[in-house]
Amino acid sequence: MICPICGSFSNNKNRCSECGSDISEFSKIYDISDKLYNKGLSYAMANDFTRAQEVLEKSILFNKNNVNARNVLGLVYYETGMISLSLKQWVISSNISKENNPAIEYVEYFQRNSKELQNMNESLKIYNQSVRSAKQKSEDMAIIQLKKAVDLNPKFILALNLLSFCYMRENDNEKALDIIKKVLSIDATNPQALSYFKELCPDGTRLVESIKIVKTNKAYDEPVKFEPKISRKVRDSRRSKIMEMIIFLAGCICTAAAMFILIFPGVANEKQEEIDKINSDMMILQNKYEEEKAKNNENNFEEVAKENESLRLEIANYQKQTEIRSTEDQLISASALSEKKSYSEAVAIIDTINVNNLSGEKLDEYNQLKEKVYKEESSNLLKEGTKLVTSKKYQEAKEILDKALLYAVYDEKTKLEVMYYLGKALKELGDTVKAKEYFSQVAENYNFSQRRHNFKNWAKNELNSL
Amino acid sequence: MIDFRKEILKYKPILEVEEIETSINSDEIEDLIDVLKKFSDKSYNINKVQGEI
Repeated sequence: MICPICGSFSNNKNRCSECGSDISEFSKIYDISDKLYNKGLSYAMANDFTRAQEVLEKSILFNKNNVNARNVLGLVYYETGMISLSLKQWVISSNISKENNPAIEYVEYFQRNSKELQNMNESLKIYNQSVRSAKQKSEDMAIIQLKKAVDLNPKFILALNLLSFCYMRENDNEKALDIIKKVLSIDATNPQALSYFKELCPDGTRLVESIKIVKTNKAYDEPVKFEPKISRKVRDSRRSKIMEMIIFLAGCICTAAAMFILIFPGVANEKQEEIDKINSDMMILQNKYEEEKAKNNENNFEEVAKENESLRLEIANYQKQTEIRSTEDQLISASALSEKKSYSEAVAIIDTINVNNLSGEKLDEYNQLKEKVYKEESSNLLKEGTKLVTSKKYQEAKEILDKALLYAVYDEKTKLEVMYYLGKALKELGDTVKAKEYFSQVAENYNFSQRRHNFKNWAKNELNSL
Repeated sequence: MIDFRKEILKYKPILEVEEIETSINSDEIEDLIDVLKKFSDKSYNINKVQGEI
């Protein structure tokens, strides 16, 4: 063993043959570490990764320079999808010993296959996010993240366990059970998966045992596979064989070429002429090809322009359809407001409707609604304007009655009454010309029932007073 | 019945590849601290024994 005090190799396990120090305690500790390593290795071979991990971690606690234990622990982590932890063990191992250490090859393998490493690391990051999501009780988000993590890293036991747990929380026990079975097929005695399994199937212990037996037998038949196990010597010998083959072929070709040139110089000239002729033919064909290509391009351009035009028309059509739908929606809103007797809001919508987008029944509907709403609104505004004139608020009355006049297009009676009160307001505001105009229209045209309100005579009186 | 609060505590964020170097360094520092603690305990005990004598 290596003396931990002077660092030299000692044949004696009790006392260092170089420095003479008592190393019996160290020897015992290293023995324990080696025994734990052997135990861990057998667990790892049987795909019992949880126990293998526990035992190998203990082995390293006893001897942190136990390269084999670190390497196997790294493989166990790799098999359960925890690439960062396996790389950590291999990096430490490769720093402890550089001679015949497979950890160096493992690290180099991942340096070469950065894509695989990137994917596995991405899965770890997503898993970390999902842990946070699960702790915040957003299981649905955690499930999405964990599915992604497992897609990138299918043997990621921790993620699979958390995924099954989240499914259980969501009461999706069938999916949870599928995931648990997958975990147990990778790691036969995973305690978390077993506890979830017992939770879901309290009487299903036999099934767990069967999974264990199947997996255990399979594990001994198939040793742990890992790609970078090809040794350097094997690779070097393969490379040298390939190089020999290439050199041999190159030699054959050179010999044949030299013989051809030396023995048949005339043939070489003929061949040269043939080559020149083929080259010239090729040039002609090339030119023809270029011409054809140019023609095709022109044709293609025309086709593309046509297609472009048709697409433009299609887009314009879609835009028109959208506008029509939007206008119809406005009409529906205005109709709903009218039903609620919110006429001022209905009028505001109707004023913004583009009539060009309506036709047929919809246009009729619009016209009917417009007439109804305008009548109601002008009547309401007339009442409001009349009150304002009575309370001598002429400016406000003028504004309201101006609006009323705009909406009174469908109702002649209301229109003339609005004109009368508008004339009164204008008279008080000093605009006698406009006031006269309104009064004269009322005096001439108001021919409706005058039992209560004699607008015709009132307008005439107003004209006389002006 | 699995208790959610207890069960979720078992899941902890895992080491990411970018953090390997830091993790190795912190492990070494922890080892050193353990060794120093052991030394300080021993020296404390020795001083205590000497004081009693």
